Amino acid sequence: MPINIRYHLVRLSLIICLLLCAGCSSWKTPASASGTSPDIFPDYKDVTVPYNIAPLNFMLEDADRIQARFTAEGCNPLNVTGKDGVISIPEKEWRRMLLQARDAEIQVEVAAWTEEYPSGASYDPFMIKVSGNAIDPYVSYRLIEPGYVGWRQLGIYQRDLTSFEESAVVTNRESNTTCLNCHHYPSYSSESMMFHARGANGGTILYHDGELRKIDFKSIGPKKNTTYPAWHPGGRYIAFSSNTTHQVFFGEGEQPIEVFDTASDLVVYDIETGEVLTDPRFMTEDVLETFPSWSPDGGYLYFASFRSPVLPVYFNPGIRYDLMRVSFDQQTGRFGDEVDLLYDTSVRGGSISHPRVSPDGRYLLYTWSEYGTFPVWHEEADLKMMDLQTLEDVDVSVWNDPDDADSYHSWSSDGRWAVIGSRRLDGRYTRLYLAYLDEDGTPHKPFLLPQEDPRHNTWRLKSYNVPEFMTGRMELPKGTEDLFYTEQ
Amino acid sequence: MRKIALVLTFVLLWAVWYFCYPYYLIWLEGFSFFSTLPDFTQIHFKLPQEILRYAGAFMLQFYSYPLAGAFVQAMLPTFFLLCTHTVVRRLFKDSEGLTWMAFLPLPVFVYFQMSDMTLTRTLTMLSAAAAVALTVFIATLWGKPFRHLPKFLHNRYLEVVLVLCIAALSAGMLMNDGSLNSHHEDIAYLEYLGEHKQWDDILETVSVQESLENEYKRKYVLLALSETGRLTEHAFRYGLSSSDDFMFYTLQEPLCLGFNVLFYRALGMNNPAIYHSYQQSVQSLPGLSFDVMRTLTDVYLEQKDYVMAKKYMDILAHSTCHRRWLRERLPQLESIKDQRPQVRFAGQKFVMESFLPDMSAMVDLYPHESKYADYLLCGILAEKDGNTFLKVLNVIASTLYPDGRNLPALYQEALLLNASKDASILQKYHIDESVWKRFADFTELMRQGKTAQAKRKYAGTYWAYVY
Repeated sequence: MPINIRYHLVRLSLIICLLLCAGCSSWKTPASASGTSPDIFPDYKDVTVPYNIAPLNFMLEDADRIQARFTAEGCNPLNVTGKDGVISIPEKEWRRMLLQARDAEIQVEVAAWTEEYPSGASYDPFMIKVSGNAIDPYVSYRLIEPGYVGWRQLGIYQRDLTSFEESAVVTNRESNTTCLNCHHYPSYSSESMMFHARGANGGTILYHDGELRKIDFKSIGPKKNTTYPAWHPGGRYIAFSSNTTHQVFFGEGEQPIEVFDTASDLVVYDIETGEVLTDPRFMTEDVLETFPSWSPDGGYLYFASFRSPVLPVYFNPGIRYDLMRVSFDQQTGRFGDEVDLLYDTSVRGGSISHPRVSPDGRYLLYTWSEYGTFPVWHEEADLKMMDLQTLEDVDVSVWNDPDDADSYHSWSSDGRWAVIGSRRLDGRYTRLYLAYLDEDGTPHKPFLLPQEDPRHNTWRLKSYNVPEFMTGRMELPKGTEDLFYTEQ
Repeated sequence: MRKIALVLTFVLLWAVWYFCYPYYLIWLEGFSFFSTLPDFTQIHFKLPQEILRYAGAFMLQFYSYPLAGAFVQAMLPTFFLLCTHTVVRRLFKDSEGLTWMAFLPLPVFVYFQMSDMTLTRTLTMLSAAAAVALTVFIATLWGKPFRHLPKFLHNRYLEVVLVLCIAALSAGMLMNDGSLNSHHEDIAYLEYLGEHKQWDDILETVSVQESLENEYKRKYVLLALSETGRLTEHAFRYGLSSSDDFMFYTLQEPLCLGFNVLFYRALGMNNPAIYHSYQQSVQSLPGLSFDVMRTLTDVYLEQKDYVMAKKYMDILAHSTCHRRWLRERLPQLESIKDQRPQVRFAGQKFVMESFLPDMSAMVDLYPHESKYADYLLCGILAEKDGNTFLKVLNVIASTLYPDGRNLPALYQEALLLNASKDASILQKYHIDESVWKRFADFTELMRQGKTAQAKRKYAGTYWAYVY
């Protein structure tokens, strides 16, 4: 082929490519107005977001071409076009817009070209409220298949909420038989961490003051295993429940699994002395105590408690855990004499799990289910909140899904945000929702953890487990994984 | 010679894989998983260290077509031979007649390839061979180190004979009946038939003797008997000897879980089917498998759970070979788009324990479905528990045999045996004339001490099982 013809062909191809690219991304005017609200996924309509959150990329199913215009007072409009119905907002422009729209709103106008509207249709605009309260930059969670007996790959991961970056904190990659669970941090700090590694060389891995160690609780103190942790805000103590947990599988019906305890007590580990402190009141066989959680000042330990003269039967609706509180003296490591009953299930019904006090000490967020101690498999499980000043309920129903389980949750360090593990997307895989509580104590509509590709929320085959906020990125020292692969 | 030898070896190995292990190849695809989704590379693989496992996962996708699977399985050793041949050719100044030398490691390669379910080991060997070949190639650019070998080693006839022997040895190792591959092929074939509901074919494939000797095959046969409504007729003839025979309780290998999923799907029990699917999935090396993805998709389509079915279909759409499979299910998916998910039974829950209590619970929930009743009663009879049989039959008969007639012959046989303890049961249930006659003959033979003859003559009856 002569060189000049080849030259012209290359030039022509380049021009065509440029034209195609331009065609793809150019702003178009839709032919009609649908007169409806766009059915976007995730549902970011009228949600409240922190001003430092990653772009809220979304999609409109069945749309081919899509475009969205983001406008806020005092900002240049941000126009985004996408194909396959996906809107991917440029991070830089998004950040700039959020910063300028703090304590204000962003209006989003969506137009899409679908089978129904081949010439395009615009939808009714919706608003995104931008809170002036930043969210903690990191949330950590365990990624695991939803329940059942076996596992292969699992790990504790952290997600930078200001971007889409997700990284592993610790995984079981080298040994698929190890189970990692119940990770926890003291006062949102990424300087310290603990988690349990279950398996042949397992133990509780504690990273504190730059020191890494493995603790075998079955060989010290009362020789009890440890389960749900609560790191004292002072950093010196970790309260644990010590649960004997079982799970059963149902042959028929909507609920596939029930998890229950046949024993559970409370112990406190003193990091300084290496002692396990016990209180005979919380070590009895006829009362099951679980889900310890400290008040922000460390003066009280909240927990759930079920008094049963006989061990519980797994799906006995009579298994109802009350909400309790006991004072704690940090100097002596002893609990006070009085144990307060904050939620009496024999009067108010239901069962309490995962009590968590807001950092300002004002509210207590907990999971309510009809019965039992493992609400993630209970469709009726919802979050409820108690005002600790009045002991009255605060309505947080806007945070819940009526049909699927809303269970584990934790507060951000400023108490304005909560991360909620919910199965509302599909009923089986837990996903994370971020919810805002304003200064008046009013809850706002939560939003799904943003992903670079919104479809990632459905494509991911793992559940998000035990989400916990962190104020920084956690870096465990090298050799952490060796601790639970070897006998050291 | 070299080219002919390579082509012949390829054809030979391809033929062995294709004709001897077609269903194992299909099963390998089902046990594997590949996706272009980011989670697959970020969570399930440690790249770049596990690049070979990733490559293996990609290649295994094509094994759903045995023709292609056998092609890959044969191509890998052929490439290996190309590498070893390069080494030989580069090391010797005169490599004429030395093709046999390149063939020497072939049996080792094929041996390790046989039970490689992820292709990682195979690809590692191949990569190592390629690295050696490349190193030798570069190192010999300035001269070949070995000039001469004894003349007889270059003999053409010796070359042909040795190459043929080594290729035949490799193929023979593959075809070896006692190998793990053969076991997998047998079971994979039964699983394939089960998945396609070809129950009669299972019964034609597995002989009574095989069923008696092989607990894997026995489980498929018993399932096929149940699905064809012949469980009570032939269960004991095919070696039912315990209620544990119906499914796997000790899950030693992935094949067991595949059966359990099939078993519960056949029973219409989606909860345990999903539970065993997840367990099956985590047994596969990437922690996910195509077989499970497809099963879960179908289960959720059945349950009219649009969100979950779509989830798995979307994930499968990110593999290479599922376009047609997905296209076939799209209309079904679209048809359930606006429906609410349905579970068959939303009332009283029951906890899965072991076979008999589970079937007992199912009989309680679905008293009109004879499948559960037959499993329960056959399981009880397998335990030789006559008293429980009578009690349970009493409950089941009130729904399925209210007038005490048309009981399966097996139950009549069991009733006759138990009638010696309580003759009144014969007034409640009708016993066919032919059963009476056979029982009389059997007891007469037993009375005469001709136990072996009686058991032979009445093989497959409950009497022969009990005595």
